[in-house]
Amino acid sequence: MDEKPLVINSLIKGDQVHGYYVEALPRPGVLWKILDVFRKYNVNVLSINFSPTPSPEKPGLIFIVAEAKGLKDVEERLMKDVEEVEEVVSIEREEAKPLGLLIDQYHFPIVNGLGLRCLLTDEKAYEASLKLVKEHLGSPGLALLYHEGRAIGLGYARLLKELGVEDLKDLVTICLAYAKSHGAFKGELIEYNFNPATNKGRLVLRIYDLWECETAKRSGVREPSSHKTRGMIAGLIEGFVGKRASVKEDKCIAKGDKYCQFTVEI
Amino acid sequence: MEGEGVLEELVKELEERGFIVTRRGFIEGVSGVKHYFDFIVEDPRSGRKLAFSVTDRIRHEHVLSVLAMRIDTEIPHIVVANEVDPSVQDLLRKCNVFTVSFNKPKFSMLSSLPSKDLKQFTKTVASEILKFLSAIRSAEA
Repeated sequence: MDEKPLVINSLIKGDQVHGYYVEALPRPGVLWKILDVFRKYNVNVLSINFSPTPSPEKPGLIFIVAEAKGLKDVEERLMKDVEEVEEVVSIEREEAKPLGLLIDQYHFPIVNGLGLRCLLTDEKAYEASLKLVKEHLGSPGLALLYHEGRAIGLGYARLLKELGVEDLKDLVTICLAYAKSHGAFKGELIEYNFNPATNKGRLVLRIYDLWECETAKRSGVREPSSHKTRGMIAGLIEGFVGKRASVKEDKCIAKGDKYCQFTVEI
Repeated sequence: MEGEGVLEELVKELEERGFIVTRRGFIEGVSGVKHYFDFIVEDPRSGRKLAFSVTDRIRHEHVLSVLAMRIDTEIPHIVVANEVDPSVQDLLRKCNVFTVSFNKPKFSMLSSLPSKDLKQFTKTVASEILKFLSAIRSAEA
């Protein structure tokens, strides 16, 4: 699969765009009808975000970002026409903030499909935090990152068990997909050898574009750097099998490898 | 630091009591990160370990790294310092990190103690460590 970045319309630079929140009932063709209004006024739509609707009877939310060019004289009529679309409940314009920044103020909180709140943080913020921990706390700081990750992993193991996951391979597969969908990394399970009878095994995970190691590499670190992710993997597996697991990062993009690779010994 | 002579005496005393003392050693934590300690004391009978760090002062800004080492190594930790902030001492004590400070009145005269008193002092500290190790053993039993 050739992945493409998902641009979240939470912060758009430039005052050349306008943002609109449209609440509409989920019916076949509704999106076409709304976009047809923009076409009618010759306004270029740059992006559209959707939130899934909880039920067919409840309106869904659409965030539309359009090019401001050509909107000056027609915006009021355009919004009125959108509002007159049968399935549309409301339309509101998001005003640009100082410096011409368009910042989404309508969607809150951000949740995943399970209704769990997600926090979006750009990697610059993580970079500063990782740098601080590594520079000021040294090796104990790295351990701290690991234990923070481990606590997160233990939480995911508990959650997935509650959701009915009974097989370790399923657990790892789901978590790799989850990490990718949340922008943390792209991963694959390249070796799986676990015996539930003895509760022992060995797993190898190959991870691409791991945020933690990319950040470390940019900061000039040239050694395996995924302490938080290692902890998450350990916590995930430990929480599931109920015993300690050792997770080593054998390869790392920070030290020049093409990908990061983790060996898990249970 | 002024207590280094005391520590040398302490190490000698612990070795005489049958402990294995590693100077300037590393302990690998649960995370796989290796942590440096000035002394690692091991009871050969039980295999229990105690880690010692020797530093000039312990203040609030050092608490996080000391606790991170404690959590990661899962080994009781003793910090020997010239100066320990009393509130930090209490905070660390709650997490099984013990501090020995030379800024306390009873230790302030250490550097000028006659050698006989120094010996007595190290014997006392060594006994405390023995008590500490047996306390851990009974707590874990």
